[in-house]
Amino acid sequence: MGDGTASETRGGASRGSWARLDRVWLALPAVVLTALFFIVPIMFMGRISLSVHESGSAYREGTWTLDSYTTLLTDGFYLRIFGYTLGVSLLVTVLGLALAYPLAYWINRCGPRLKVILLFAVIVPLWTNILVLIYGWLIILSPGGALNDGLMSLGLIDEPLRVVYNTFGVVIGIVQITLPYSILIMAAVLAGIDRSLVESARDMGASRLKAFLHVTLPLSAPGIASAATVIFVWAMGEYASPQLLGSSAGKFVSQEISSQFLTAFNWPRGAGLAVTLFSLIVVVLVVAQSVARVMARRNVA
Amino acid sequence: MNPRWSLPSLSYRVLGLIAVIFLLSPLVIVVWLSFGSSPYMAKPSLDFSLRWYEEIFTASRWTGPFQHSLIIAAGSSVLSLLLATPAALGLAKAQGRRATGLNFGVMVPFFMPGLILAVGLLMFASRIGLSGTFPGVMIAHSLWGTPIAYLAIRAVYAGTDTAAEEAARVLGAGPLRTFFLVTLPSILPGVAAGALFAFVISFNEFMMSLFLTAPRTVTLPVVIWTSLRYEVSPAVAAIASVFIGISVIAVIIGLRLVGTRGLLQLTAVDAAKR
Repeated sequence: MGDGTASETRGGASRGSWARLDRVWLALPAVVLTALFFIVPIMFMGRISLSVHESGSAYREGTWTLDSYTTLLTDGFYLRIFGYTLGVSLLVTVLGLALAYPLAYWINRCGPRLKVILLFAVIVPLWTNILVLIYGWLIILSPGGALNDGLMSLGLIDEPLRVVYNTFGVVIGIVQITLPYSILIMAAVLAGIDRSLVESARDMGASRLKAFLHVTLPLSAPGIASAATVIFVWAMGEYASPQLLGSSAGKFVSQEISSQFLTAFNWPRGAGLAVTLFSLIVVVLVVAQSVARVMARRNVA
Repeated sequence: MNPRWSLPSLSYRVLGLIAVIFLLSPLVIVVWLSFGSSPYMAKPSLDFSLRWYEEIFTASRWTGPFQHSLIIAAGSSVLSLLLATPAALGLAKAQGRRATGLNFGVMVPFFMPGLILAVGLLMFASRIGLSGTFPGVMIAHSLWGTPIAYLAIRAVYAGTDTAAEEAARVLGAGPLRTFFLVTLPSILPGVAAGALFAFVISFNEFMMSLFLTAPRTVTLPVVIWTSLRYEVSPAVAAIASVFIGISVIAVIIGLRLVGTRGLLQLTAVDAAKR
């Protein structure tokens, strides 16, 4: 997209290079916001996670201990929470991609009028408060709700299905919340694929399905990868869906962080959990970035 | 045989339609329920009533937080623009390590879950006296508003020609004059879209608000949260429908500002690339 302008800029760099050199620093105020209200709090959190917990006052200042981390690594309770969070996140990612891809593909193949309608259907939920979406699913999935009612009146089931306040409900919630992002990301990548490649495959006798499997799908891999990253990272940090649609038997890391801070008042342990979650997310983002780089290089070659 | 109706092309449409139905069904059911008269969180019925709308627009437990939400969203949107516009102008056409680093610095909070930001700010804000205040929440929301506004403005500015700016500079206009007379008019759709995105993000955000607001600054999503957890009244359905209505209006404005292609790219491609 921006390649044309980039090379123009490079060509004209000799004219006002001192001005262009200074220009990047216009970003400084925004970076200061990040530094002050994101980096500093994270470091603060890291420091608190290494303090001694003191009942009654959240943490004792000036103390050093690795207690909160050794607890996280040795206590089965916390390992199970991390395992559950990662497992559900993985499931949500797979389901989300499978639901998103056909719609993203359709958005790219349909006429302009239908495209506006489909985009509308995707962006309105994206810009709707996630609690509103979860509330909608509560009404649909609850034991006396719309889904069970409908299925029972059709005579398909005799008693209500348990489709909420369990892992199923959590999965539905997170898929709903992340679906618009993955659709938009994949639609944008699909839009950049050269249609003539697909057509030449068809000309050479490949069936529609074959052309899709051997040309379109591999070329859309970067979109699938970044959509997967966005879904997975979102799911790992999700709080509202497990809290409202899940059960107390399946806890997410975020829920545990929040209860350590707000009800147990064990700030070192809450901070330790938050730092661990933060580090996991950074690892996923870094891995995704390097995968994307490798894929980009392969597509160029 | 018409290729439109061949099996493969039919199948992605059917699957796509399933995704659309999945995406929209909670919204449809909420709006439907909000016009009913039943006092329980139940299945929608066929009777029509506006009693829940009457309640949310008159009872102070809803109108107060609604005002707080608007104040915070407006403030955070302005703050985001003030930070994002220079950043976008500085980095849109820049290359090299420093630009990459600064870009990363602007974007990174965007990828963090609300809870991580919220917990960090909770411990920090209480130390510097921002806890429970309007500026505190505005700043917190700008952590997401600034990157999204930055993406919008950067995308528009990257597509403009620098020749007019350079001509203005050569003819002796200062940087500020050049900005207000030449650059700003050309990036206005991006700035407007950025303001809209930042407003929508702040208006909907609830995790940071949950941790950082006090009763006199509490926002509407936090009230919904409390209500969903403790006593679900169909008034929530009416509030929820207001949120859906605002989202619909915002998408229409967004389409007007940057068009289908622009909206598709702004909401997706840049966020994914970084």
